[in-house]
Amino acid sequence: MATQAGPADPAGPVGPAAAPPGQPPVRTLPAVRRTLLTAIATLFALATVVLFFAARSYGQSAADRSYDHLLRASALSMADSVAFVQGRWQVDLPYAALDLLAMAPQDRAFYRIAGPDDAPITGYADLPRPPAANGAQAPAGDADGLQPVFFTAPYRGAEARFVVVPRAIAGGPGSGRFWVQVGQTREARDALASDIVWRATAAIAALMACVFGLLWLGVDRALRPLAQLQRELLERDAGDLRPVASPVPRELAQVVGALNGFMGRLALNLDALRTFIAEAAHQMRTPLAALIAQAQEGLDDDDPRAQRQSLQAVERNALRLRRLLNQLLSDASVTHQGQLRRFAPVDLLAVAREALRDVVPRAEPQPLVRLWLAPHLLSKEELMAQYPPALEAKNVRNPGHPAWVRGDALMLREAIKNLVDNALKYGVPPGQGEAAPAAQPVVDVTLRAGEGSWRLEVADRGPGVPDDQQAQVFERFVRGPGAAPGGAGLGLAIVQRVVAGHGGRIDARGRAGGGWCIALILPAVPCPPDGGAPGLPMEPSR
Amino acid sequence: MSPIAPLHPRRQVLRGLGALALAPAGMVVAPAGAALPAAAEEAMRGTTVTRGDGAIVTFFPPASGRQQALLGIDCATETALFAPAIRDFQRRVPGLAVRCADRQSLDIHAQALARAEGRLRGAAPPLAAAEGAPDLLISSSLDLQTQLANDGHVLAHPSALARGLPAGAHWRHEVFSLGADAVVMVYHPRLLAPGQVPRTRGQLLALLRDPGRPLAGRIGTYDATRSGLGYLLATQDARHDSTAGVLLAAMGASRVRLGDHIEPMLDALERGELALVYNVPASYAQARIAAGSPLRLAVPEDYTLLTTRSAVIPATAPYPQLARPFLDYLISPEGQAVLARDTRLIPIREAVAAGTAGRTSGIDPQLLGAGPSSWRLLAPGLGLLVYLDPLKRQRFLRAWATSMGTG
Repeated sequence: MATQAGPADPAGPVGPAAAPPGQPPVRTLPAVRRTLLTAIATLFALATVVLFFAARSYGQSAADRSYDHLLRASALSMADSVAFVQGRWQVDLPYAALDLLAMAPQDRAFYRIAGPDDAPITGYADLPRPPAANGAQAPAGDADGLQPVFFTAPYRGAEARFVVVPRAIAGGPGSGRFWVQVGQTREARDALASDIVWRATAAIAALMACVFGLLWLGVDRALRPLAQLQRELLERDAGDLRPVASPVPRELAQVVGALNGFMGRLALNLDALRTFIAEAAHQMRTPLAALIAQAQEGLDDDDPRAQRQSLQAVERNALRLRRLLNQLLSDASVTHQGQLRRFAPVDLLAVAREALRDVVPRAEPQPLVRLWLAPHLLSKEELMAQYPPALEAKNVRNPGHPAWVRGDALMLREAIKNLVDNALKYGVPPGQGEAAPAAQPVVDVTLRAGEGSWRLEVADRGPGVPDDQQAQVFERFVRGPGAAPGGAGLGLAIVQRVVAGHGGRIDARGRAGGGWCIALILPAVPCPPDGGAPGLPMEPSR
Repeated sequence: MSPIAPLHPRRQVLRGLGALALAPAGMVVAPAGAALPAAAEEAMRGTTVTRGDGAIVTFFPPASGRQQALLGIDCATETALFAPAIRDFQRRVPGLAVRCADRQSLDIHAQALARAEGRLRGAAPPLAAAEGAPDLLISSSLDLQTQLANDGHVLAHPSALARGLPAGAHWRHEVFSLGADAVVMVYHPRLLAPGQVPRTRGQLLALLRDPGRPLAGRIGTYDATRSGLGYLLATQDARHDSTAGVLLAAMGASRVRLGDHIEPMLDALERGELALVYNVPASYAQARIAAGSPLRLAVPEDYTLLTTRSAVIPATAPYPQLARPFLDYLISPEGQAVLARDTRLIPIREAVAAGTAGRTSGIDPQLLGAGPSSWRLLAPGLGLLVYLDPLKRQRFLRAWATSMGTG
């Protein structure tokens, strides 16, 4: 059945509570009830028309069949009463001959008995003759056979149905043939036919009304849980994010499940945000308090060495504050950028270089961050010929072979910065830490070509994250186990959001020989036609 | 009663002139017939009666006011019997004059057929009107009325009242039974001892064959060859009674007296010339008995035919709009009450109830024969046409005449 959804109704049935003032109206599709009922109504209207015509044709033929039997019986009984005695036709009409036709109590009846050459014997001499079939002569259409012929013709101001029954009589004049013609007006036939038609039509109409009513009630009933759901959601506190309690039809279970999941994540986020705000406040207060204390101590101290130590402490705390604020800023900018969705082909390698330049501290002790390029688009020999096997971040040259992805350079840069920052911060081999600053973290950033994608790996020698917690560390404000103080749990969440926004994915796993490796896998795009590097100007490396 | 549509003034004058022409001065005569019921006699007062072309024409001037319209009726019944109903109707419709022509039912239908065929051939209706064409045909020959309807020569009258009639009381709302009349035997008690009075046709046959010949030369009945009602009754007897031919032969052997009108036969019965008349519509005899006649009824108990007076509006009626209200009046409860009281017709609704369901409440107990199942109501319909077939009629009448010894 072709569903005939009505044209989209601009003033769609938005519930009064569905769009509170000040909110954009909910976009609606045609109402379920209307869609359903329109389709059924169309089908039924078509079916009614078809059935009406079928019933009319059937009714006509059924009425004709039943009354034709009477007509023929009447004609046969008349034919039986005809005799040819002593050179004269004799007809002794049986009473039943016409009384039979009184079964149609309101119909007039006519008869005619004619001998050879259409010579009238008795009855209405002016009855219409049957339509001549195949040039056969009246009075009988079937000139040779003895089969009755039925036909309809107007007579005395009314349509009448006639039968002509041919008979032969032994010893009769000429051919010995005679014809009995009996006719009857069509009132009873038409009444019976229209009775059949109207009964059938009434049955169809009644059925249609029943189906319509049931559908109406059924839709009403089926949609009632939605109203309950609406009520439940409307009556809720803004902060109540518990799963929906109202039962819903099975078809809606997924929708409500998704809603529950959404609200669950929202609750988690809200919780995390609250914790974060508390923690951020707390963490900002600590370095601030330390800052103030150190500054006061420095002011009070006359010894220039002590003053210098105080200043260094001030700087350390200020740096920690800055990192915290940077992360918040990065999170905010990624969120903002992600909403803009200004995507363009971007050279991932250039972005990575930019990021490294931003994130790797220039002050001593400088960590070792290496950028590797491993496109298998080039053979190993070509690669060896073109690039030194290891390209250190500081002196990597523009390889002239951009890794194009479609995306937002700022977002991608923030993601890589966060990844590398994380690796620098936590990628210290176990057993060491900030307490032993002598051990410098070593971070390898590798860009590889994959199947229609680019894979940017950031690997360190740190303890990593246990497998069962890997999913969680990508949530906002969730921090890895044993994370050093000073983080806000935003870094990996930013990475996650950027990658998801670019249609890529994250692959995190332990590294052979100890350590942890996080890979960003982003879909590759062909080189832009102008060969340039939109989105990010290629600066010559220093 | 709906009021009569006023006629065109010139037409009124013409109608008035026509009425004058029909009623020459000095021709006011007393109605014929020996014993009219008092009501009929009263109703016939003030009418003018003329004789011409085989008919007795009675003119009923308007009950009040100047004549504005003229309703023409052809009536195969003693006009006097319908006079009270006509008078009652005239009281309801001021200014209406009625012309009632009393003819043989065969004449009525021959003329009606001739006019209808003329209409089919395209004769102008005004011509028909000038010839005194009737607006309503009332006849006891239900078969002839039915034939007119079957041939399409009558107008349908599906008024609200007509649609309320039971099925046996009308055909196609074209032929209307106005009232039923039981067909009985009438005898003179002086000439037929109470023990001898036949209660069935079998007893009548036995009486005819009685060696004492009590009925020899003293039995009468309708002449089926000359009376439409007589033919109808004879054919119905043949249909209902397989021994009808034997009865006819016995009557013929008893030198039966045949008449085309029932009144002369009843006169002869009263004079003692006849002892028993077979197949008499009871209303005629009851009217005489009510007027003091010594005659008595014998209701046949094997079966009692209920013949009817029926009315049709011919298609050639010059003023069918006058005939319709009168027909409505005749089938209305008021009209039926007048017919039952003054004409002694059994109201048609009760006759149908008796003929179909055997319910005889409201029927004169004098007429009740053996029981409910003995009533045979003659209802208009196709079956009646069988005996009108020329060959069938010829054959039947030849057999009838042979039996009666007149053929």
